[in-house]
Amino acid sequence: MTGQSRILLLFQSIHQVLGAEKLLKGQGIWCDLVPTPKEISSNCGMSLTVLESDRCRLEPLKEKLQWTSMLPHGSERTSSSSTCPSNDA
Amino acid sequence: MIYLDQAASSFPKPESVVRAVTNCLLQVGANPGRSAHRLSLQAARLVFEARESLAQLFGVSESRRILFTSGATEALNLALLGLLQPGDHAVVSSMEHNAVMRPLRYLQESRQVAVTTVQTDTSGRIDPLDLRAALTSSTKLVVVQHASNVAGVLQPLADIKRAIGDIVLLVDAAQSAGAVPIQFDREGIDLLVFSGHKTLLGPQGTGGLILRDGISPEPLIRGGTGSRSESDQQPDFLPDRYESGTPNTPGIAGLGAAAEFILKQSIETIAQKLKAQAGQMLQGLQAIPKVRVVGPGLSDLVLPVVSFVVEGMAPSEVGRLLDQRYQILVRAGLHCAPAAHTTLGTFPQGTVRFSAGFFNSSAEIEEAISALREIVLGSS
Repeated sequence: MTGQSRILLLFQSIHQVLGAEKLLKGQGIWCDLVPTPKEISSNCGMSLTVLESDRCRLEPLKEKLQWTSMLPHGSERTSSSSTCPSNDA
Repeated sequence: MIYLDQAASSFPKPESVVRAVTNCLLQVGANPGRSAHRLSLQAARLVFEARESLAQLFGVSESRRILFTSGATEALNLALLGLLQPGDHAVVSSMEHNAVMRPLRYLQESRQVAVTTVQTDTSGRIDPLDLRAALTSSTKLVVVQHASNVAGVLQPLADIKRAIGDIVLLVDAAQSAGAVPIQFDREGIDLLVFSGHKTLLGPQGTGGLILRDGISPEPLIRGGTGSRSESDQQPDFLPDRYESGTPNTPGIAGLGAAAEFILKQSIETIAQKLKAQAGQMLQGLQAIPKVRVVGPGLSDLVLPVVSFVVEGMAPSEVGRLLDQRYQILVRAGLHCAPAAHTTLGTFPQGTVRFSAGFFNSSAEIEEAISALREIVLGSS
C-alpha cells in the first residue's frame, strides 16, 4: 500500500471508527486505523486511512459510514481533484 | 447441586462466555479506545462487537444507542433520575422491583416528582387500560417491567404501548432479555433496561440501557471518555455521553459472547424450553399439598419463575432445608420486590421462589419438586 495516495476519514468517536472499519472491510475496501494527526482537530484520536483510488467506492457509503471530514492524507496528493463517474454512465 | 436461583443470577454461563472473559484478561487487557496501540484497539473492538451483537438480538438499528452500565439497577437510575424533573408525573405498576421503586421514591421525596402506582390483578398482570386511566397532563413516563422476578408473569408490552400513546415508555427487561423475543425499534419502546447476568447469560457487573432517538436523559456519571480529550465538557454524542471511565471490558467481552450464544441457539428455541420448564414447575408445585402457588396460571406463565408459600413453614425454613438436605438452591424472602409481594398477597412473609433457566434440565426440576414434597410431608 506504500506509494499510493490516501484519504483520511475523521469520525466523532471510536465507536464510529470501528463501525466504519467493519463496513469497509466487509465491502473489501482496504483501510487502516491511524492516530489522528495532531494538527487536525478532531473529536476522536483515531481515524481511518483509505486509498485515494477507492474514493468512488466510499461515496455511496457516506450515510452509513458517517465520517465528519474527508481529507487528503500524507505527503502525496493528487494533482487534480478526482470525480466519480455518475450513476447514469 | 441443583441451582434454581436463575432469576437472581444465571449459572452456569455458556463456555464461550467464560472463554471470552478469560481471553480478554489474558490476551487483551488494555483500556478500550484510549490508546492508539493495537491492544487498546483490540479491546475497543471487543466492546464494539458486543454492542453490535446486542443490537442484533434486540432489534436496534444503531448499536450506539445501546449504553453499557454496571447492571440493570444503574441503567434504571440513569433513566429515572435522568428524565424526571420537578413537576413531572410518572406512572408505574404495582409489581416493580426496588431498582425502580427506590429511585422513584427518592424523586418523589426530593425532586417533587409525582408517582402513581397502578394496581395489577392478583396474579400480577397489568391492565393497559388502568395505565391509561392514570395518565395526566404532566405524565412524562410510564415504567413497567417486562417480566416479574417474583412470579414470572409477562406484561403485554404492545398493548401497553398502544394504550399510553405518545407517553414515553420505559421497560425493565431485567428478567426477560434473552429469554423472550424483544424487537426494540419495531415495538415502539422508548427506553429498555437489560441486565447482563440473568437471562442474558453474561457476567455480573454488566447490563445497559437502550435509548430511542430523541430520548436524552441527563448522564448519571461524567468523566473521561477517550474522545474530545482537549475539552473538559462531557461529549453529547452516543455512546460516549453515557460511558465515562474505563468500562468492564472483560465483562462486556463475556456479554458479547453471551449475546452470540443466544443468537446461535435462537431466542425462540430458548423461549420454548423456558415455557416448558414453567409448565413443569407450576404443575409439579400445585400438586403438592400445603403448597400455595402465587402469580399467573398455566396459560399466562411464560417464564420458569414460580413463587409459593408452604402452610405452617416460613419461606426461609423451606429454603434452608432444600439447601442443607438436598443441595437445591432457591431464594426465599421478598426478592427486592416488596411491591410485588404486596400485590400477590405475600407481604410481609415473602415466598420461596424456584427459578430455572436454559441450563437446567427437566430432571433437575423434577428432583426439586420431589425434595419439596418430602420436606412438606415430613413436617406434618
